[in-house]
Amino acid sequence: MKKILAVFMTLCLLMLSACGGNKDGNSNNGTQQGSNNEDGHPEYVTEPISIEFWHTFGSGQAAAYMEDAVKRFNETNEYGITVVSNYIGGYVTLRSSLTTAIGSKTNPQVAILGLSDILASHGVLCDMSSYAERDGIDLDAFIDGVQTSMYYEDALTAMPFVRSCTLFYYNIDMWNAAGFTEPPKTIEELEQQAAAVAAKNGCAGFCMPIDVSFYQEALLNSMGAEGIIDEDHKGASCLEDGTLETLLTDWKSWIDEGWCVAPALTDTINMVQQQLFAKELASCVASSGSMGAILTYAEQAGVNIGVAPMPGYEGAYGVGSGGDVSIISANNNEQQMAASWEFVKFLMTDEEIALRSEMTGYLPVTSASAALMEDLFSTNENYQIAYDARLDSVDLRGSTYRSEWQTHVSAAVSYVVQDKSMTPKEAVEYLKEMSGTVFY
Amino acid sequence: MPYAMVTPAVLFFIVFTIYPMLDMIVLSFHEYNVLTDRKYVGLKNYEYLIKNIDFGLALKNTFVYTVCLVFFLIFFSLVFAVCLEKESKINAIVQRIMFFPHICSMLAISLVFQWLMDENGLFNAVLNVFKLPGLRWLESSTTALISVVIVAVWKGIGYHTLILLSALKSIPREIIEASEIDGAGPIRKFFKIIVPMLSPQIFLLLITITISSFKVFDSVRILTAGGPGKSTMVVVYYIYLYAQQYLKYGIAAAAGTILILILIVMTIIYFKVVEKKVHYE
Amino acid sequence: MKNKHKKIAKKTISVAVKLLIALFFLFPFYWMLITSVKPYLETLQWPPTLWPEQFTWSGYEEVISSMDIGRYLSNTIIVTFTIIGMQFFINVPAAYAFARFEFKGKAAAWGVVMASFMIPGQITFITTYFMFADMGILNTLWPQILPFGANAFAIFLLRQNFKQIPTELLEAARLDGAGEWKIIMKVMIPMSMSSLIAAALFSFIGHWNAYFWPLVMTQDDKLRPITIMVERIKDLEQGMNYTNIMAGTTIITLPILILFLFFSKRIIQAMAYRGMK
Repeated sequence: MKKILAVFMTLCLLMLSACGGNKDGNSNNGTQQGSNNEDGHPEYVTEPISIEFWHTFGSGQAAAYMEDAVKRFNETNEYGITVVSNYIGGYVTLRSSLTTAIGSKTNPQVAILGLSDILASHGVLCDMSSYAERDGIDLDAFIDGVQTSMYYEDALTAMPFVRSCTLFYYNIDMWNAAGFTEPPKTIEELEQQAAAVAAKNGCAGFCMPIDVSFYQEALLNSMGAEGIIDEDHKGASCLEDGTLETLLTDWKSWIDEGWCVAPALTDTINMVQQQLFAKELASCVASSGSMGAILTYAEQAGVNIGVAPMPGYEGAYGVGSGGDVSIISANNNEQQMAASWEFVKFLMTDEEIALRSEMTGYLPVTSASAALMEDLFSTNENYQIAYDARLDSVDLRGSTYRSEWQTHVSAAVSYVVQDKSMTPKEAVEYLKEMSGTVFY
Repeated sequence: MPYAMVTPAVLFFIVFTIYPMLDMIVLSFHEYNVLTDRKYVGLKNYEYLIKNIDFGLALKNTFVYTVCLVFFLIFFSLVFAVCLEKESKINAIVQRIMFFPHICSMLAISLVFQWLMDENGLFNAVLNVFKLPGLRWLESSTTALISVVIVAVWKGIGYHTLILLSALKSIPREIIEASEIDGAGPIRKFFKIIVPMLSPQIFLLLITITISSFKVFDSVRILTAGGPGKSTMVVVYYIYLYAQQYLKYGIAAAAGTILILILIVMTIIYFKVVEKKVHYE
Repeated sequence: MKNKHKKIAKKTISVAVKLLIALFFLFPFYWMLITSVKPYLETLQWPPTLWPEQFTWSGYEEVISSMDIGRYLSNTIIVTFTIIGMQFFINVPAAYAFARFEFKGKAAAWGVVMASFMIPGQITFITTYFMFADMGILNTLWPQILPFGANAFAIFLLRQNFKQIPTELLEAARLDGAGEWKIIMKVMIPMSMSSLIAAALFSFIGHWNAYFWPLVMTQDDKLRPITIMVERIKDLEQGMNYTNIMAGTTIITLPILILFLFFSKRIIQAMAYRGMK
C-alpha cells in the first residue's frame, strides 16, 4: 500500500514540476528567438512550406473573401507556399489568443491585428521594411491616414489590411421634410438640423454610439486635441486641456434637449441601426464598415438613408481604424517569415485590396486600388463619399494602453450620457483618477 | 486495489483544479503578460487592487448582487413552496414549468431577457398597458444590477422552490395541523411554524446561493457587459477583463486569490452549519 | 350552499394564480419561439405583436447558412459525450473505493475531492489556460474536456448509492471469485442505475450549456461549441436581428427541453437530492 502511495505522490510531483519547468523554458525561448530574427536579412523561400494565418473574418462576404483569397494565393504562388487560415474571433479575442500562443510557442506566422502596438512593443512582430525594400514595394502608395499605424518606432510592423472610417448616416426624407437639403458639416449645423428634424418628424434626431471611443475620438481630434491617448502614449491630455469635458458637456446637453438619444448599453452599433430602420431615429454616426448592411436593410425597411462625412467641431472630420496584417517573428524561422512576406505582399497588391474592399465594404487604402474600383464608385455614390471621407481621416492612435484605457473612457462616457449619474466634470475627475492605474 | 481506483480521480483533481489554483496564487505575486517572463513583484498586485476603485466597486457590486439574490430567491421560493405544497396535478405541472429555466443555458436566457428588458421591449410594453412609465431596465445604473438579479431569480427560483418543497413535505403533518386547530391564520402559520421548521434548509440555501453568486459572470457579460459605466462590474468579470483583455495576468490572479479567500471563509461557515445540522438530527 | 360557493371561488382563484405563475415562467420561452419565426421587420414593431403576423424560417435559415452550425454542434456533442464517458471510468471506481474500502490516505484523498468541489473554474481558468498551452494541446478539444474528467458531485452521488447496497451481495460475488472491476460492473452499476443516469444528465446539461469555460479556453473558432456560436449571431452583418438571435437560442434550448420532457421526474429528483446534501 505504502509503495503505491509513494508512486502516486512522485507521479503528482513529476507532473507538477513538468508543468512548471516547461513554462519557463518556453517563454525564454520565445523572446530570444524573436530578437534574433529581427537582425536577419531577407531570404527567398527555397522549399515548399506551410504557414498558418489567423484572421477575424468569420461570416458573410468577409469570410467568403478570405477563403477565396487564401485559395488564390495557394494556387498561384511560385514558391509552393501553402497558407492554412483560421478564423479566431474579433480583434480583442485574436490579440489575446495570439499573445498566449506566442507565450506557449504555438503561434501562427501571420495574423490580422486590430492594435499591433502592444505586440510590437515586445518585439514579437517582424520588421517588414527590408523585405519591402528588396521587392521594391512603394510604401508611400498607401494613403496618408494609414501611414502612422504601419510603423512602430520606425519598424514596419503592420500593413493596413482593411480600413474603415467614421461616417454620418441620415434619413434623407426626414431631413428634407424639415427643409434641409444638405447634411450637417459642423457640430453647430448638426445641433441645429437634428433638433429641427426631430421636432418635425416626431422621432429622435441623432445618436452617437460609444463603441471603442471611435466617434468620441473623432470629435476630440476635430477640436485639435490629441484624442483619448497622447501621441507619446504616456497619458491623456484631453483630460487636462478641457476638450473631453467640452465634448461631454455638449453631448449631455443634446440629450437633455431631447433630440439626441443616448446609445444602448451593449451592442450599441447594432441597436442604433435597428432604431434607424424602425424610423425611431433620423441620423447616427457609424463606421463605413456598416454601410453595406445599413443600406441594404434600410432599403428593405423602406427607409431612404444618405451617407456623409462625420460632422466635427471645425468642419467635417473623421477617424479611421481597421485591421492590420502582421508577421510574427517570435518562434518562427527565416523561411517561415520569408513565406509569410510573400503572402502579405499578395494580400496588399492593389488588385487584392480592391477586390477585398468591393466584397466586404471596407475602403481601399491606395489610390491605385481605388482606381480599380471605379465601376463601383460611379454606380454607387455613397461609396465615393465614404472613400473621400476616408482620405480625410487619420487612423486611431494605437497604444499599448489603449484597450484598457478605452474601457475606462467608455465607462466614464456611459456614466454621463447613458446613466446620467455623473456630470461631465465628475467624469473627467474620475478618469484622472483611473489614468493613474493605466499609464504607469 | 482501492488506490488504483481512487488515483485517476484524485490525479485529475490535483492536476486540473488544485495545481492551477496554487499556480494562480504564485502568479498573483508576479507581473506577467505572457510575452515576457514572470517577474516577482511581491505584494504590488494586491496594492494595485486596494488602490483601484474598480476592484472595490466590483466587490461591492458582487456583494449587493449576492444579498439581493439571497433575499429574493429565498423569499419567493418559500412563498411558492407553501403555495405548491399540496399534492395535485396542477401543482406538479407548475412546479415542473418553474423548474425548467434552471437547466437552460444562462446565455440563452440572458439573450431573451436582454430583449424583454430593452427600452422598446416587452416589459415596457406591459408597463405601458397599465399606463406606467417604461423603465430603463439595463440602461440605468439604478436598475441595471437589480435587473441582472431579476434574471437570476427567475432562472433559479424553480430549483430552490423544489428544495424547500421537499423539506416542507418532510415536516410532520401533525405539527401543521396542530397550528391550524389553534386557529393560526396562514400568515401566522407561515412565520411561526413553516419558517422555523425549515430554518436549517433555509440556512443551507443561504450559504449555497452566496457561494454561487460570487461566481456570477455569464449574465453580466451578456446583459450589461459591466455597464452602464461600471455599475454592474462584478469580481469574475473584473478578473476576465484583466486576464483576457488587458493581459495583466498578475493582477487578475491577485483578484482571483482574494475571491478564493472569500470563498474559503464561506465554505468554512458552510461546513460548520452542516455539522450543526447533523447534530440536530 | 354558501360555503360551497366560497370553496369553489377559492379554488378557482388558486388555480388562476397558479396558471399565472406558470405563464410567468413559460412566457420568455414562448417569446423566444415566436420571435424566431417573425420576419425581421416585424420584430422592430412597437408595440410588439404577440403572435407573428407572418411566419418565416429565415432566422433559422440564416443562422444555418451563415454559420458552420454542424461544426459547432459536433464540438459540443464530442465534448459533452467524451466528458460523460470519461467521468464513467474515473468516477465510478473512485466512488466505489470511497464507499467500500478503508485505506490509508482516504481522508486526504477525500479532502482533495471536497476541495475541488469548492474551487470555481471561473477563477482558476487563468493558470489552467497556461497549463494547456504548455502541454501544447490548446488547438484541440481537450482543454474543454480534461478539467471535467473527474467530477466531485458525481463521486458524492455514487458513493452514497454504493454505500446502500447490501454487503451480502458483494460478499456473494467475491465468493464466486469476481474481481473488483467485475463487482463494479455486475453488482454496483446495475444496482445504482438511477444515480448513474442522474450524474450523466447533470453532465450533459452542464456541458451542453457551457459558456464561460469554452469562452476562455478556445482561440480557434473551429473548436468552439454551439453556445459561442449563438452569442456570435449578434455579429452577423444586419445589426441586432432578433429573429436570428432567437432562432439561435431556440436551437440550444430545444435539446434541453426534449430531455426535460422525457426525464423531468428523474432530473428533478436528482436535483432535489443535490440540494439536500
